[in-house]
Amino acid sequence: MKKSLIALTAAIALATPAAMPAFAYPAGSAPTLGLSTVSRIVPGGNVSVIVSRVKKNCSVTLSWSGVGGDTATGVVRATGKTSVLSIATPTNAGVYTLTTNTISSSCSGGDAVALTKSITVGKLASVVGKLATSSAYVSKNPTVTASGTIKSGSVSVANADITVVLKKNGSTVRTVHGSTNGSGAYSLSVGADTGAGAYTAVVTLDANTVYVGSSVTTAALNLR
Amino acid sequence: MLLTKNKRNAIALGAVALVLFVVYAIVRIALMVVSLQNTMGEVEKLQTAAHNKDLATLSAGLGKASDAISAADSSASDPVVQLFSYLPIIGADINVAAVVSSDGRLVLQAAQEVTSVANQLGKAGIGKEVLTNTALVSSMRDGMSSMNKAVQKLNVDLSGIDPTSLHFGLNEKIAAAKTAVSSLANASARITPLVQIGTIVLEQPEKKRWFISIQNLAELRGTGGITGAYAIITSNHGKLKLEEYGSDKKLLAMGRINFNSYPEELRDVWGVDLADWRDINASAHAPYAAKLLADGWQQHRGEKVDGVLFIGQGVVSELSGAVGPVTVRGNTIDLKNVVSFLSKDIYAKFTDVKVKDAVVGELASQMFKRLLDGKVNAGGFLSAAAEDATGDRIMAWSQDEKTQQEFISYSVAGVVSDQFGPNVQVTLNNAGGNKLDAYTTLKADYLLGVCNTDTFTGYQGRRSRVTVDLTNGAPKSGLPAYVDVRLDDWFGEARPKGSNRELVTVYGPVGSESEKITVNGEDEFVMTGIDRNRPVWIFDLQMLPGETKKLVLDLIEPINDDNLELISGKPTLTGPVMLNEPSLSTSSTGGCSLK
Repeated sequence: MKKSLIALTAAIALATPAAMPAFAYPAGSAPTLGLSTVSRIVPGGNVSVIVSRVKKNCSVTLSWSGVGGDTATGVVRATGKTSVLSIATPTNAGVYTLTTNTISSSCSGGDAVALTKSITVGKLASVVGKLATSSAYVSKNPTVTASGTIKSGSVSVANADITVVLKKNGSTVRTVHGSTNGSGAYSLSVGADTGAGAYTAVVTLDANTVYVGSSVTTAALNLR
Repeated sequence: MLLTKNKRNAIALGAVALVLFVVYAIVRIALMVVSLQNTMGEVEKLQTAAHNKDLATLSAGLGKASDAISAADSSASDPVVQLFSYLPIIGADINVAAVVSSDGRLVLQAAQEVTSVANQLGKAGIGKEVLTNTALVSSMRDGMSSMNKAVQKLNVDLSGIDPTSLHFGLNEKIAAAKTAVSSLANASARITPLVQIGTIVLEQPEKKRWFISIQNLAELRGTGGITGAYAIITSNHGKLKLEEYGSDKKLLAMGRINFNSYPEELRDVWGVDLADWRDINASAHAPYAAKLLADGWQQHRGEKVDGVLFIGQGVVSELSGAVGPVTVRGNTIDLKNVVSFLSKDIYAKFTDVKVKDAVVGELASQMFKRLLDGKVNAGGFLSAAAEDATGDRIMAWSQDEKTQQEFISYSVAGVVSDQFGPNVQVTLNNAGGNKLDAYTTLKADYLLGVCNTDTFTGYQGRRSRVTVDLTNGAPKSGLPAYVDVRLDDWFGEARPKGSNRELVTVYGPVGSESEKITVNGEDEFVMTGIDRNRPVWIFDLQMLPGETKKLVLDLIEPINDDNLELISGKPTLTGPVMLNEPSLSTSSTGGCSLK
């Protein structure tokens, strides 16, 4: 799986409350958040959700954590399930957390709990990049260029905004913005007069209405 | 027209050469047949040696059989003989003789190695005396691994032969051989992991403490079943000692487990209480549960557990075969009835749970004692393994990284692969808190489908489909209350006697995504998560007695990895560890290529 997605998911998981409801044996006792489609979700589309194993007549509200947007509310039926709740996804691609309100202990049967689910909205892309220089010697005032391609599966990510952060020995030197061409390729000059040292660049496909932000760090380029 | 003298000579020479060629081939084929007959003669003699448990004679006999079959293999490999395999009528017979000679030679050679080492290990007092020669133990492991590989190949090759196409009495012999080899392959597949794990435990260079989780496959979990009982065994330079035995009640009485070591993102995936000893193995990845068991023991008993073994009724039946019949409170338990006794009969005969637990304890204690005293019967062990119809798999974990790598290298660590590839795994977790999985059966299929589609996760991909047919075969009445209880919360749905609740987990390939999820043709809402880099979909199903539900998961899965390399390989489907062996199948529409 894409490393960037894993990192993002892990970050969100760690940022969400670590409290876990204390539910007894057997397995599957805790309230659950079930989805009909958990992947291939597009920005501005809909996600269908059922919240299960909650006491009858309790109210459950769904929302996107930290980003506002659509919400959906349902009342739990005698079956312990809400009806199918439909909630619109954010209009920009990204990894979001779908969350419920805090379900009280009297409704959950255990500790009070807010259910959360990390959901990727939009497509992921693979960014390939490298740094090149007109000369390896600082004395010759070299120009450093970041170039590469961006694809999602077999499709080139064309005319998309990218950001290149040039780093020297790990510290940011400068940030440059640009875009891919019609074939998903890019070539950006990231400047000169940068001094001797080991340079890398973090090339990021900016999140848009189709693609989740993805990035890659280039191999080091040494200037003497 | 008259031929010239030279032409006549040439024709005569050609005719002589042809005759010699045919005579040579007939001699080689005759040699092959005689050698095979000699082999069969030697193999028949082996049965007497095996019956008398005379390992030295058995090893010598295997050597003779091995020599005989090597001669047959030499003839069968002769290009002239192979040419005759293209002939009508006898071609099929020659082909079969070649397969039997080639595969059989590997089996007999490996078997000779194994019996020779077993003889030496027996003399060295394996398990009872200090182990002075660890090379012997590793030789046994290597020998068994080689023999298992050879037996499985022979079984696969023989299964592709149609006996009705054979002649000269070969048809009957091959039909009989197919049955015998299939049985041997089943036994070998079950015994080999036991030997691999056992020898690794024995050859540890210092004193080690092992927690044996005795899983009850009548109440399923991701690694097999709920830990119904446990044993603590120490290994010390090859000597084994049973330190303690207890039921799950004893574990529960110790208190809750601090589960800080468990991956945080997985803690709420199955809705389990990870502090509860009975609920810690919902994931199929055995090292997670093993670590919790080791942590729990250390937290409550202050003793380091160096490793954990998971066994269920299937492995217990093999051990039962090895130690012979055991009588507990008037019930004689042997390899024929142990699985049924431990998964069904015991609940009917001993309705008091305390008494039932005591019976299990007495049975296990007697078996372990005989095992550790070296009172074992190899024939019984083999018979039990051959007749084992469970879907049990032994798994092992070690705190020591090197030992753990050994377990992984033999595929006995219960590790869920986190690598790219067309790999799907299915597990079951009993969510009813009952023992009804003695009646649960499962059939699953994994089909790799059409190419030329992309995943949303950024890979070039192909469509695939996972189909699971789950059946609750429990009767509607007549089961003891302890067996068909429902401990899950009631939410108003009808729960007749014999009904169950199952969490069916499907582990998709790394980077895969679901396109459509249905149960009995209707869209289904599922719980989701990521376990070991693998997307998981969890179906929460109410199963009425006698009911079958069909789960279909349409996936799009990557055909390239993060390095943009093409993913190749055949589809693999790993079924649940369960009491009734699952029926699994895979297929593919062919390979894909990258654009």
